[in-house]
Amino acid sequence: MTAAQALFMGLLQGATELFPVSSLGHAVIVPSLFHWSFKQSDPVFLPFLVLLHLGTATALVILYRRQWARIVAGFARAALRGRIQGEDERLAMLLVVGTIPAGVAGLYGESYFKRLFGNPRAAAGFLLLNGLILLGAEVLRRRGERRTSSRAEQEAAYLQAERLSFRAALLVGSCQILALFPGISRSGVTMAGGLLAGLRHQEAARFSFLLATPVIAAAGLLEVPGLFKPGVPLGLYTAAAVLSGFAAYASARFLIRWFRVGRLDPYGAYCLLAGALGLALLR
Amino acid sequence: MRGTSLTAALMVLAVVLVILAVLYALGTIGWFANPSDVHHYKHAAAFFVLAVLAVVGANFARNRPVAG
Repeated sequence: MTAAQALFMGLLQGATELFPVSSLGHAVIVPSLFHWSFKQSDPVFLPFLVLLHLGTATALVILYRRQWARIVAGFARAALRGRIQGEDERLAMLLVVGTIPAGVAGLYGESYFKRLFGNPRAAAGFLLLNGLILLGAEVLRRRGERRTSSRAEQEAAYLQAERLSFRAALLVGSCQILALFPGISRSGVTMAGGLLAGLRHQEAARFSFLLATPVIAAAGLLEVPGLFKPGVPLGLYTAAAVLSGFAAYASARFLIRWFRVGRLDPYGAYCLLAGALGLALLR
Repeated sequence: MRGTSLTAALMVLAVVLVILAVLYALGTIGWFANPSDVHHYKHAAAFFVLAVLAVVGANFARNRPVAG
């Protein structure tokens, strides 16, 4: 991988990680479309991607730093007391419940999912499926929406993340398992799950970003030792991860504003188009 | 009564998870883990975290209000 390619991949990963369009799918498809010579099935490709994800996780921690401080303190208080009091403690426990399924699935499915990284056509197919999931979630959501004068009023009728039930948090968290397939977006499926559980769009995005942070950070920390091998350009990879972090921070700020009244439809349409193009162009 | 049984079950689960974590770390077991690794530290760390969560769950079960 050349320096320009690594930096481009960093920018691409950071920009696409939080948008519901699958960063992993793009990381597998785009190099194949450009006929870049490095192999996605290479043993250092996954740790490289994970390092980029660490850049994204750092951006999310910085963005939600005050909230994370309250969540961590809330978890410690509730765990010691054995009872939940207040919204921070409830959110902390919802995140714990939502994180367990993807954590366990990621650990045991790792070797199977690694094999899929070498198959850009499969990633394009999953990207297409991701588009259908996003559009399907919006279709189901619209059925339950009240007719009001403005979109903001319509959204206000839905829940805040802290009001989610534990069963719903478990289901939304379980949606993250689908994101282990390159092409299925973690933020996309968790936002879709959040919408179906009755969250506002903006809250579904916030819950998705908060839910993503521990999984991304844990996966990153566990895979980073794989980077310390001879021949791995660690400085370059770290620079790409920093670039990924900056892009993710900007994306998150944009999406938080977008989901005040915006929907998943444009991202669903993009995934359908990109997935179909990928399937047509990749042989 | 139900709270006490659940607390006991979660504590037993926590002990089992700690034992599994130790066995993974020592490389004594390697179910579903990468066969090329001798020690399965990722699995060990994950099982240890699950054990901590089981203890937290037991603490919650202990403080559950008793019905009736």
